[in-house]
Amino acid sequence: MRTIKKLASNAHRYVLWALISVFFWGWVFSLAGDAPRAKKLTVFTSVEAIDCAALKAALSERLPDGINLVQVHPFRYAAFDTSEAEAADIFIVTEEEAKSMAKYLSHIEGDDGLVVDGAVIAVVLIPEEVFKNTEFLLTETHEPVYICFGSRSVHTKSLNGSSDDAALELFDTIKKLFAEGGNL
Amino acid sequence: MENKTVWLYRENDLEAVLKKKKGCTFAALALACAGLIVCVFCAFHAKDADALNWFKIAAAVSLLAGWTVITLRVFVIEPLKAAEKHIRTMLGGEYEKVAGSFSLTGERIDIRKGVSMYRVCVDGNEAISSMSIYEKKAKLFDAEKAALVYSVYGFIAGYEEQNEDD
Repeated sequence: MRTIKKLASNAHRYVLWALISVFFWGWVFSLAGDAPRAKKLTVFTSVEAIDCAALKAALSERLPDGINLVQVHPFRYAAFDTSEAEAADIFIVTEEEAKSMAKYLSHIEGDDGLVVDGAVIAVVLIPEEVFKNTEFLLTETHEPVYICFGSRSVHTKSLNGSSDDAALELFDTIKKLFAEGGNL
Repeated sequence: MENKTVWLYRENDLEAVLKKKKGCTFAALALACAGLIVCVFCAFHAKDADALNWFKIAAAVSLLAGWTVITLRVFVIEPLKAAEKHIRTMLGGEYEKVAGSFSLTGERIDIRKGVSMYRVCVDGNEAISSMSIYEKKAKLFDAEKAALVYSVYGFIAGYEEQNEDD
């Protein structure tokens, strides 16, 4: 009884420590796991079926020159701060979402892809039929998935005159990974 | 024949408490440092593909090590600190003699941030009706044989055992 009473009177210490543990180490990991924009590529996806961890692992093994870090986040990662999502290099989204966020996307050269206001803004990553590659998919998809470039990316020199074309290299790698089931 | 005086507190008591406190404080510090080292090691994997798993490990280690340290502090170190303070007071305080007949009650008194006491009833003394005895010294106090007790701030520090021949 005395022990329980003592535990109860010190409960605030245990709760406070639990909060400190989670938030402090969360903050440390977000700092330690980050890199300057010039050295990282960020991919955001709204497609719940995509396994962000598996895709990140595969892309981390195939980093373009001059890039130290690739991050793959679901859109919900930016629930409280959209600035990182708005400045992302690559988006993997559905057709409807690609159209709704057209103002944040770079125009892609060529005729093949999703056209909005006369310009191609996205190309197909996963076709409409059920995609059987399960390497980067947690579940099957039943609608086409598109891949596109963020207009504020600092790694799309050919599209917006920024410093390098690392995002384009990553774009090709993602397309190949999905096309060949991760067996590059 | 003279009455035998029994002193409940000795320098050895203080030394034993200090030694135990030092050991427990060292154990808590060692655990905290070990936990911190593990967490820092995990943080070096923050850029890995499985960074989320490393974060979970770091948070869990930090949580468990912290809770263990808190438990050690609340249940061991703080009571030892209170015991040390109490023993120092009893060893260094001025004694007051209290005569009467004494009976140890089971009534426990928990002093906040202090030691736990048992109440001792005093009969046959107009000035004092009750005193306290440190719970860990209660079994050394033979209330039935006590004819006179030495108290410091109302806490029993020793007593005179009535000679059976008397």
